Amino acid sequence: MPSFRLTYPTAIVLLAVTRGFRHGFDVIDVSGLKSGTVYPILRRLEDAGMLRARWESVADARDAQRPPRRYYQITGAGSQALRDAHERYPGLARTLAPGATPATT
Amino acid sequence: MTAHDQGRLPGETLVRLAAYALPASRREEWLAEWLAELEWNWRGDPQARRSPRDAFRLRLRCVGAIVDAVTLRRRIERGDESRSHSMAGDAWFAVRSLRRTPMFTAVVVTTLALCIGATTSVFSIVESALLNGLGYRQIDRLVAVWSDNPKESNDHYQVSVGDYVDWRARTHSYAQLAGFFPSWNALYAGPDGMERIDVGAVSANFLRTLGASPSLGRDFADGEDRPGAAGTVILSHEFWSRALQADPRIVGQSLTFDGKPYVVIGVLSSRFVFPQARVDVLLPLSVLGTYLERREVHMLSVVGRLRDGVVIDAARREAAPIAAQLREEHAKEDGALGITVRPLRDDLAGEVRRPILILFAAVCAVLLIGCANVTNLMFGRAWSRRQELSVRMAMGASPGAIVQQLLVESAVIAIASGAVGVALAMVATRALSSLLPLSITRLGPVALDGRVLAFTLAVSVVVTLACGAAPALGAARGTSGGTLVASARMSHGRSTRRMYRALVVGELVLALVLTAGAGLLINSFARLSGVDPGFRRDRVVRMKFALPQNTYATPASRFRYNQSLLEQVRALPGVRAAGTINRFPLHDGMVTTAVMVEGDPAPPPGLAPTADYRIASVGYFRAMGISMAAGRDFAATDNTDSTAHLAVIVNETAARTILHSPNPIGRRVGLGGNARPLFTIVGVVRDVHDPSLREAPRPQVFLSAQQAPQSGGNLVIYYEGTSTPIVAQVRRLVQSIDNGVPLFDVQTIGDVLDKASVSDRFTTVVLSAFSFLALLLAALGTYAVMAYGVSERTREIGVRMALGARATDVLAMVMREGAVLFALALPLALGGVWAGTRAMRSLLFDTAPDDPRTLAFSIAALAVATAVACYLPARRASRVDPTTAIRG
Repeated sequence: MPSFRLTYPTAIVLLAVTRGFRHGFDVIDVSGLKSGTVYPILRRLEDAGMLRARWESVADARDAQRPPRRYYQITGAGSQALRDAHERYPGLARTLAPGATPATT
Repeated sequence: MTAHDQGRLPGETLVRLAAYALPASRREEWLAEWLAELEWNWRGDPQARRSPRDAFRLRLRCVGAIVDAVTLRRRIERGDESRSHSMAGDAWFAVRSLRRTPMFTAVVVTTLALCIGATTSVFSIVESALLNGLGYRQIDRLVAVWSDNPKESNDHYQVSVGDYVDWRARTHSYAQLAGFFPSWNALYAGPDGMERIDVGAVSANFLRTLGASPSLGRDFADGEDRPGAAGTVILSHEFWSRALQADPRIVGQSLTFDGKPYVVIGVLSSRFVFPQARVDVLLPLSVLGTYLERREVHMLSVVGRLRDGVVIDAARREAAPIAAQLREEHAKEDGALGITVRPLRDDLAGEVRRPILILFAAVCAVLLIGCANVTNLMFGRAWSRRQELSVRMAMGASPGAIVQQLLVESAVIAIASGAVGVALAMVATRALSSLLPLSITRLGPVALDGRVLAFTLAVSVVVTLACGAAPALGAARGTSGGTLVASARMSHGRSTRRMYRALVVGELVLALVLTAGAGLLINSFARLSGVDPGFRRDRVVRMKFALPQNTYATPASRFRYNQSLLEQVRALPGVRAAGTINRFPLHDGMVTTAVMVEGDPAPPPGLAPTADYRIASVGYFRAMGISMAAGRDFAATDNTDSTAHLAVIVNETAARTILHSPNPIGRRVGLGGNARPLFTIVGVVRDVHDPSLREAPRPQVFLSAQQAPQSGGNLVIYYEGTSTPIVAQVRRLVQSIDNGVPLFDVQTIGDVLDKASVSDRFTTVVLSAFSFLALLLAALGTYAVMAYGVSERTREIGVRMALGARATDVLAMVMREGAVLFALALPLALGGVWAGTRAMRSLLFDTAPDDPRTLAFSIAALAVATAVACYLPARRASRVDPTTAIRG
């Protein structure tokens, strides 16, 4: 695996997903980053194997009368990268509001 | 009713439009993700009130979808996806990027496929003729044992049955020593009438010696080859399938050969290859009858399996004293004979070994030239992509990943070329097999088997590494410096350019060696085709007939049959002349006999001069167009009447070398080492080339067929018109005289001559094709390097022209560079030609390996090819527009 350059916004996105903000829009909301930043980062993290994307089950979605959404989960490699990022960006943990919880789970 | 249907969401149109940036395969999933987010955001909370301001913010967020889609598309195109970090991803990316440069891909794949295809076809021949075990166990332990006849400078002289039996009794080097006669024949009484079949007469231990066993039934038991033993036969797989419909219950049944019953004891496996000839059945050696007793008749081939731990040199050392003993004990027959022991593999492939190895060397040279070209192309490609690669490295790709990507690209090319190459090889092998001389095909089937395909795979992999590694490493090194944008105008390093040139010089050298080799072969083949065989080249047809031994047991009955056959054939319309001969020139091989001239002092034992002897009828020489140099042809009076002399006709070479006179008419000779009876020379015929067109005529003596009536042989007819109706008439005639007599092996004289030069034609055609390919590839390689050099120096050329250089000056400048490359290649090439053509000496007929005309012609051909390859880029250079060049 080639080296993956973990930029600050990337670290924020990883952190947001770890905190349970599993959908693209949720990450945008909680991080304050622009959608044109967040989505490309999500794609890149997914490609690098640090995030895994899944689709919500159709049954759950039908109950809510909403289409299934794609959600992201952190992988082992992602957790490792996030630990490295915490060392590199010491203020990272404070970036997201401490009490912020995902709007939907 | 779902929420989807409640009208469009804010920003939805934008997202849908953005989706078009993506390839169709990715569009749907991407769109689903964005639309679901929109849906949940806008309608996820039914209680929430949504203001126009919220709608605006959502639309603004959807602008990000465009960024997302466009970056995702770039990532897909660059292959910068997760898959690109795996080999499979690199491969997928490589396929895409190769498709974007169809010209490059086509040229590279075509070059490599041609080279790999050619190499594979030739290797399939190498494998079949030189490497294949022929179905024998441990072929490396097998040796061929021959008599050594220094008098005829023939060290693989056939062995007499007596010598074979004595060798077998006296040696200790062999676990088994088998004797066989590969070209006996017999008449088989099949359901469709008489058929002449080819018989291998073998000692009982023959199959055990080779390490083969029947796939059905059993092997011969010891003693079954003794005279008087019950008749047993082992069938070839081919005969069993053809004549007996592969009857699985055949073992134990009786078949009739030459009117005698033989019990089938076994069937050979289809993989088994009988040495030296194709045979239908194996019969015990006892079938040779009286030949078993005649020590002066040399007819057997002997093969031995060395005892464990015995090396071939030990077997040779042991053979020398045995040969000495036999020379003493049988001075008359074995007086001068020694014993030769050779590895069986060399022996079987002996005559084809060198041409095949030369072809293999040639095809490897073509492969090298192809590789050099492809390496150059790949360098160029890596260079032209240096910006892309720099960007990738700047974005975090390691040099290793870049090298991997480029190597995977070469691997994709290699796989594609390998696949196309194998397909080409399949076609080529099929085409070649019709061109292949019998001497190769009888060694086993030439086909693309597992071993050949493994070889192809290995070649493809090695080629991949060879062509792809250096450019890949160079690219990785070149880009790691981080010279991103500025490099666009930079040119190659000096060392790279030097390497380009070195590759081209190498190509030119190899191409010249091949062209010179092919030139020599073409020259030699032309001379060979020009050889006058000494007989008519057209309107002669030959065919064989065979009289069943039991119905034509007496000479008188054979005489009557032959006489009536010839009379009736001559009466057919369209027949100008007809005769018979027991062995046809260039077709049936030679059998030599000692000739003693009456009145000459008796030669020392075993050193009597020998001549090939044949039995010809009245009309044979006339049908063949062989004229008399002195004396007369056979006549009807040369018969068995008591008043008639035994007549013999000699050829010019025999008259000169044995009788020391151009006109020895009336002199008498004894044949076969016997003083009596004496044959009177009645005529001298012109020489014919036999046993091959390459060899000088040998001494020959012809006996009269009327005085030694044969049970068959070649019927030779000189006709007018076409051969087909003549053959049909003769067939009907033979049927009507006695339908128990088979007529087979029909050939026109053209076929005989073609077959006599098939081996030469094969090497000539194939090597010429290779040399043409080499020339073409070398020219392409030169062209590529020169064209690249010109494009690289466009600015310089522009400056020169602005300063007053004329178009012709520029043209000359570029041509001069090509000339330098050629001049560098020439001395190396001459060295290569010197070494290469010497190895070909034995293939050449009447052509010196350093034939100056051929060499001059090859150099000229290469010079023209190089000149053309340089002229095109040179002309482009001379048309450079200074203003645009300098500005550009």
